[in-house]
Amino acid sequence: MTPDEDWSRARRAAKGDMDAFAALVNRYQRPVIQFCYRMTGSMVDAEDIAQETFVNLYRSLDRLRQESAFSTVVFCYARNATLNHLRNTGRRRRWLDAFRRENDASAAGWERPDRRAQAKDIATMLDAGIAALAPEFREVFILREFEGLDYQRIAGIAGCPVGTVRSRLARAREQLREYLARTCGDGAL
Amino acid sequence: MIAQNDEMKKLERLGMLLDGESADPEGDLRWVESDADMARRYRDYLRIRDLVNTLETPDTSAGFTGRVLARVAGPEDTVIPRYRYALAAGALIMLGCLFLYLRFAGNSEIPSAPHMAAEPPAVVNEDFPDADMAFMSSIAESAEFLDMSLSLASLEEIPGEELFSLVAEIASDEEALSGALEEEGTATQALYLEDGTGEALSFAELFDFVETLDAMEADVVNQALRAALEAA
Repeated sequence: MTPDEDWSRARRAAKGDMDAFAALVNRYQRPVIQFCYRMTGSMVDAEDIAQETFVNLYRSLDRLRQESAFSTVVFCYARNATLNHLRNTGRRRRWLDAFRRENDASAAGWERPDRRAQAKDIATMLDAGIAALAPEFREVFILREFEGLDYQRIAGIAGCPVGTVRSRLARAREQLREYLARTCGDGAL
Repeated sequence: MIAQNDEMKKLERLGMLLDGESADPEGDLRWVESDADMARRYRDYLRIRDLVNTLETPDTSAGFTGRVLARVAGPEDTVIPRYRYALAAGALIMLGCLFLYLRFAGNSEIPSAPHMAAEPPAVVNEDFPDADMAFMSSIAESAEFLDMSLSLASLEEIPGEELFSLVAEIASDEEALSGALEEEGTATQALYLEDGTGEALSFAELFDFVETLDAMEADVVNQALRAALEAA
């Protein structure tokens, strides 16, 4: 399906063609859920947010203007829904994190040498490292590394200049590198 | 700070090379190879990218598309139910503000007027005699001439000199009007202020008089003006 076909289906969906909308959902559900999952760290949350994304998108179809790639629009909706979710759950999550740190020290334990062996592998650590990034760094990293989007499109989705995308990506990579070096040892990478 | 900025610039350049966004990839690659620290980071970033590619996203649960379609086909949850608590709280606050306004608005004190201020006519009676109407009109015309409106606030802010001019104009208009009416043989009485002894003072006389007054004496004149306006 080409980008123009996406817009064509979107216009048909706006007029009530549910098959056209279903085709769009099928096409974008995996990248959207992946984005939401990497942003939240929870598959259950990711599916809920992805549903919200597509429902919001459907209700806005007749107002959308074809000024960018349809995938950019989809990711904009996914990003908004994800940030809303993170905002809403932020307080609860911070409390849970604090509780976990105090009770089983699992989060801090990752950084202790004697607990390193408990880590399944470096990929698991990478997952944790991505989750530890600040949301504004995490989103650009995910859009670049998992979705393969270029700086221009990431800037369109994140609503910031390309220069900001560049610096956020650089910081995200560096923080991730330092995190892995700290948790897995300097020679891990 | 400068060192940090330089470091950041280097990392951004490295990232652009890694992401295929560099304007000069060959030159950037030579730069990386010439800098041991950057070369190490470049290798680490490539390794992280390889690891990212090994990460798996859990499969979407079956029937995802069906659930989305069921939701969009269902009744739309409008903004009002979603924000009903916020709306209710807003409405309560508005009601509270309205109640407080109604409760205390009547008790608010109006700042006292400057000592030379004349209180504006409180009520314009439609049954005013013609002479009084002429008097009111002359006030309006004089105020217009002095580029003032007749609102309470502006009238209370008239500086002393302007008030004197206003009074003088009113007085001369009043005398002209009286003269004109007398010429037509109509019995009329010019508008006078009483000085408290039964003697009447014309506006012209009053103007000459108040010009010499100090603040305390001006207050007395002010009272007389107010009394005259109320009587009118």
